[in-house]
Amino acid sequence: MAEVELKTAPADFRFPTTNQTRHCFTRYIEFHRCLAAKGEESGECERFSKYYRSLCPGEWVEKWNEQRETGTFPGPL
Amino acid sequence: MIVKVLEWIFLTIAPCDAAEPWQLGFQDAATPMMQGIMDLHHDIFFFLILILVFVSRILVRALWHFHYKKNPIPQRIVHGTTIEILRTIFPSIIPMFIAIPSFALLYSMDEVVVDPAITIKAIEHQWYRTYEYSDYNSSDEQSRTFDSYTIPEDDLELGQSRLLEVDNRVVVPAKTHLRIIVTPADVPHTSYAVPLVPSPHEPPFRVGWTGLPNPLNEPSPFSGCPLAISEASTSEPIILEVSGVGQDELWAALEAAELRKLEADKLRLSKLMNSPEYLETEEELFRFYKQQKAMAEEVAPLLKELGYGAIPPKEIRLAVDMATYDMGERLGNDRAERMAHALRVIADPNSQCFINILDELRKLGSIR
Repeated sequence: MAEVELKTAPADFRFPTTNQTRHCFTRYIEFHRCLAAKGEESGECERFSKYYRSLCPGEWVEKWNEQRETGTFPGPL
Repeated sequence: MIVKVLEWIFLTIAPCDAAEPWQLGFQDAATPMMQGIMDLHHDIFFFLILILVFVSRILVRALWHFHYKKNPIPQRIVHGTTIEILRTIFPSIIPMFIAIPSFALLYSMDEVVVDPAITIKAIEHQWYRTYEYSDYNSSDEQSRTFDSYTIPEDDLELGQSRLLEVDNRVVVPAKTHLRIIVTPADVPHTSYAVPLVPSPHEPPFRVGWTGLPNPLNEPSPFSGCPLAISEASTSEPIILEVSGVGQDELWAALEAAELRKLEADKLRLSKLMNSPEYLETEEELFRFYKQQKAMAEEVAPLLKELGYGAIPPKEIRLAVDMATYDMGERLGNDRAERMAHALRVIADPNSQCFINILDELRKLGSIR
């Protein structure tokens, strides 16, 4: 049986408490800022995308995507 | 027969760490946090018994000696500065002894584990849970999401616990650090998991992280075995099933769970579709559609008269359907009135409904 590596978003020292809402939000924003800075094709943003998908509930991500499309996203993108 | 007997003997009580009937103590702790809580409980219980015994002794003594013959003159004024000082200071020292381990535990609960191996999101709805495993998504599409409902009493099998069983269990790998993020979607309630504290409180919109450091270390007797956890306030049990280490087994277990769920859904659906109430509703619906078709056929020449060209009957039926659906919602269940109103509305070129229908038809490309 091959030992498959289990990986997930690492613990972030900026968010040391149990409430990880800000962590999820920050990762999402970081991903989109990375996209804006480096372009869509760059593989560097892949990391951030994995992080926010691990941390954020699907409903939140969908809502934020919609908000970005309509331009009402309440974050520093 | 023998198998039945054996089943009855060995499987009516869950062989793993589940709550047992008439259980007096705690279940085995699965995390150091829960062990801390149990220790704190023992600490506090000691002081509790101390105080209980002392107070009841004093009370009983006072009642016992309050007898009109044996003690005809009860004392009225009692002084005693020393005793008063002592009985003020001493009870304030006891809570200090209780507070020290209590605060230590409380603040240690807020610490998080570093380097989890997997993140599981538990989203609480009314009144079920949704679990998401999204570590291996390649895009924003949902991966490995499933709902977990409490099995209702009527559907329980022999050996299962009431209100403590779910249809889909959360499968987690053994001997790994887990990060479980719990968030409520539409409920402002708290939850806790007995052997796996902390499962955090969730005020709305807060995503709490449960760290399970090296949990579920139990070797093979417990792998593949559920730890049943119950919830205080809302009867939404969380059952974790510990699978073998490694991603493959985890996904295989999840797939099996999904298949089971699909089978159960199919069964439920087929039962529903053959029930008499459903069939009766089908009849009624069929009659309703026939009426709508008749209406559409009446409307077609009317529209032609108004000069809107040849509209395919299917589109007209669609338009009538939309009109009557809206009307039904607003006017209630009087079908004939609804139909009449819909017809008037459709035929009246000044009505907003008609304009909307025409827009829809234009979008469909069937009229200019």
